[in-house]
Amino acid sequence: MRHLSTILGCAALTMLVAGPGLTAEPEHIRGKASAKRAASAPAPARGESAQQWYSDGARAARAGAELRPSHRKAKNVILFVGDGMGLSTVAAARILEGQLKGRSGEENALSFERFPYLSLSKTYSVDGQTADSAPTMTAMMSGIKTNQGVLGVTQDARYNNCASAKGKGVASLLEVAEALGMSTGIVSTARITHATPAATYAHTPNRDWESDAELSAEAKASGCKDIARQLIEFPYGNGLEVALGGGRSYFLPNTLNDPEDTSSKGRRLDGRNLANEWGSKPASAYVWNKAQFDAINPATTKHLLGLFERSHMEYEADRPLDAGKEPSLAEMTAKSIDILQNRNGNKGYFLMVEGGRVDHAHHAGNASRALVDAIALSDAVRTAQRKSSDEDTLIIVTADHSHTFTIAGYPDRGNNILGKVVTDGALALDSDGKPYTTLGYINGPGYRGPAARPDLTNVDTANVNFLQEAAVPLGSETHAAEDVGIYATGPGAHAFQGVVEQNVVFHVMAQSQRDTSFFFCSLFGGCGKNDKKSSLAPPLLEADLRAGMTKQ
Amino acid sequence: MARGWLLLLALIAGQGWAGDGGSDEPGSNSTVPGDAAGNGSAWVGDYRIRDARGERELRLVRDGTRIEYRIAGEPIRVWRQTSDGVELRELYPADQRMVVYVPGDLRTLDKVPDWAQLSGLVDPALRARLATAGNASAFAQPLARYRGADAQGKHVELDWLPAPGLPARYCTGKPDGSRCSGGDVIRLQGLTQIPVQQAFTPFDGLLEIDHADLGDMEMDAFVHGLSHAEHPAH
Repeated sequence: MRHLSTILGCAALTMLVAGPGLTAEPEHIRGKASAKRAASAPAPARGESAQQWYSDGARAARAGAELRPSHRKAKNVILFVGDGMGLSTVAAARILEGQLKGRSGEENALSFERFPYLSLSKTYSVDGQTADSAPTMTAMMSGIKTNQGVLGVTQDARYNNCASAKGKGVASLLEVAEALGMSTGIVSTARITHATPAATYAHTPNRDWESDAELSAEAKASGCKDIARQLIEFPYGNGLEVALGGGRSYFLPNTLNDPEDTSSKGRRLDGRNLANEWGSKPASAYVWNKAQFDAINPATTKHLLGLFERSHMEYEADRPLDAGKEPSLAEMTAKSIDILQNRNGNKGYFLMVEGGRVDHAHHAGNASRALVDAIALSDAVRTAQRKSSDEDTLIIVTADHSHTFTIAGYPDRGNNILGKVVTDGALALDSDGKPYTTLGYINGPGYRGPAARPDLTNVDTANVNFLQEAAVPLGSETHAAEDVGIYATGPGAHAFQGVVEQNVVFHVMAQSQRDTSFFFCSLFGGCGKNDKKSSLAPPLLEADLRAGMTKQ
Repeated sequence: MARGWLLLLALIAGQGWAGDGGSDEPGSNSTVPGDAAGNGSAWVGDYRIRDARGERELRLVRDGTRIEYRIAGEPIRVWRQTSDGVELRELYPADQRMVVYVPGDLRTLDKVPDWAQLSGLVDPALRARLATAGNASAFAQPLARYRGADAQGKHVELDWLPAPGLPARYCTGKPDGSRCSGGDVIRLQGLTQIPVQQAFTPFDGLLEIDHADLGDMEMDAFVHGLSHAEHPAH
């Protein structure tokens, strides 16, 4: 008791000394706060109390202090990428998911927000302050930063110049994993040839060279292969075990009708049917709809290619409307893990899963679809956690870049995140007396000018088709340059500390997985006391990996 | 890109799209009675139209599942009924490019068009509120005259060709007025029916780009040009 009195006495003294400074709020803030308190409705009953806040906070602090890193090596690595899923998207998706469960929302946590380790990732590219998905995913998959618009090549390669990219290919973690005998897979709701999934297996100075129809004359003359072809002709190990996503037309010849949209054809000019080429290999299958996907037996299928749309798959919000029917991201993740676990024996697997359409919905200025797709990614992460073990599987969730998406105003607790700002129970109004939404964009198609802002009083802003307002008129909303989160759990996850360059993601994966760690340590050293000096300078070029495989 | 046709639809003959939110109304994908679906031919209507951009020529080509608008100085626009909904293709033959808005793109951008208005130029709801005012013939077709007022109370005159489901003439006047002022908003200048194979602009040789990808294609010179031409009115 005496001890407590002393402590309280010291604290009181501190308060008295510091008092004037601590209470010196500007008048307008004090006035506003007082007015708000006066107008506040009673807090809604959520079972929250001061005691609970304190206890929960203390419990979280203790859990953090007691957390001890796992020094095991991971057998498996799963990388989740929410394309364009910046911190504001994560926060808004968290609230929306909570509200869809009938709660206030703010207190909710997406599956990966419960992971123990967190870093912030700096996403700039070699030549861009605000990056696109090609150099950012190259950073995460190959360990180096590179130029805008290029995939799996060093910064010495010039955008759109095939000749300049010769010999500049950098090996990706997926390629090394395959070369080491691991199983590998990629899943995306975007085209499987789109920048993020393509950075796991392709090397090209132009991310848009997805089929041979997009190759420039110079690219053809200099011998560059299109991205779809690179997937099918993947040279390492026994090829990818799983590739699921959209982009069917990039694999089909322009003489063949699409199976779902029969009045459209494939894009390929070379006459090749790459989907059939994949499916014709032993124990391999190609599927294009959910019924076929559901019928796949993971125990007997060694290589699965699923192309569920001519281009990108549907937004999660529209998936029920699709005529051909598509699996969800969580279903694709589950099937992938089943196949990879059946195939890998004791070698482990690498899986990349992309929520690819968060980015597209943001570009369209449509927050509802972006958030629903972010929630779908969270569901897929939960599925992966359920089907794997924290003891031997490193799971990382991150984004390639952010968007100009904002959460603004002073909405009351539990206010519909897709709705108009309601403060103290009343619509908050702008200086012209019009309501405004909590969510918005700095730029994009949601611009309503140049006349005065529209009156949203009678507009259902929570409608899935509503475009949030944007300040600057642009046909497509743009990426943003602020950091994105890296959330990690499992062996090696503790390496994520502080603010890091985006290419650190590759290095954490490489050093955490048992076989890749040994491989890169043997190659480049830097892993302990008994290091021998390597004659090979990093990064590992694709040509070197190929040469190494040939010698094997 | 898409603002041109939206402007056209919004200004010439009623609100053909829902604007902010909720454009998935039942029936928005319905085809027009009297259409040429299934007989292997397409209607081709040559129009003179007047909207906020001034007077322009519009060639409208239509069969049961496709509608094409050709307006000088704008990309050729083709709307198509697919199993997933309405798709829009914007053709740029000079650039050998084609921007595709799949049904999901149009929903996401809140730009799902009213198929009936798109194919008949005039909002069916507007036509329904007008009174019949006699019959005639034009362009070798029976013609029905309608008169009345639109939702804002402005005087409206509509001459309608029931067989192709197209307007021959549409004009508006002042509120409470009894005649049109300022000339015709829509005037048909020629109407033909030709084989489908010859009617529509072919897609062959045009490189397809998804509208969803435009935001990630700023380094592409064509896309860069498009994005900077997107808001010409501002």
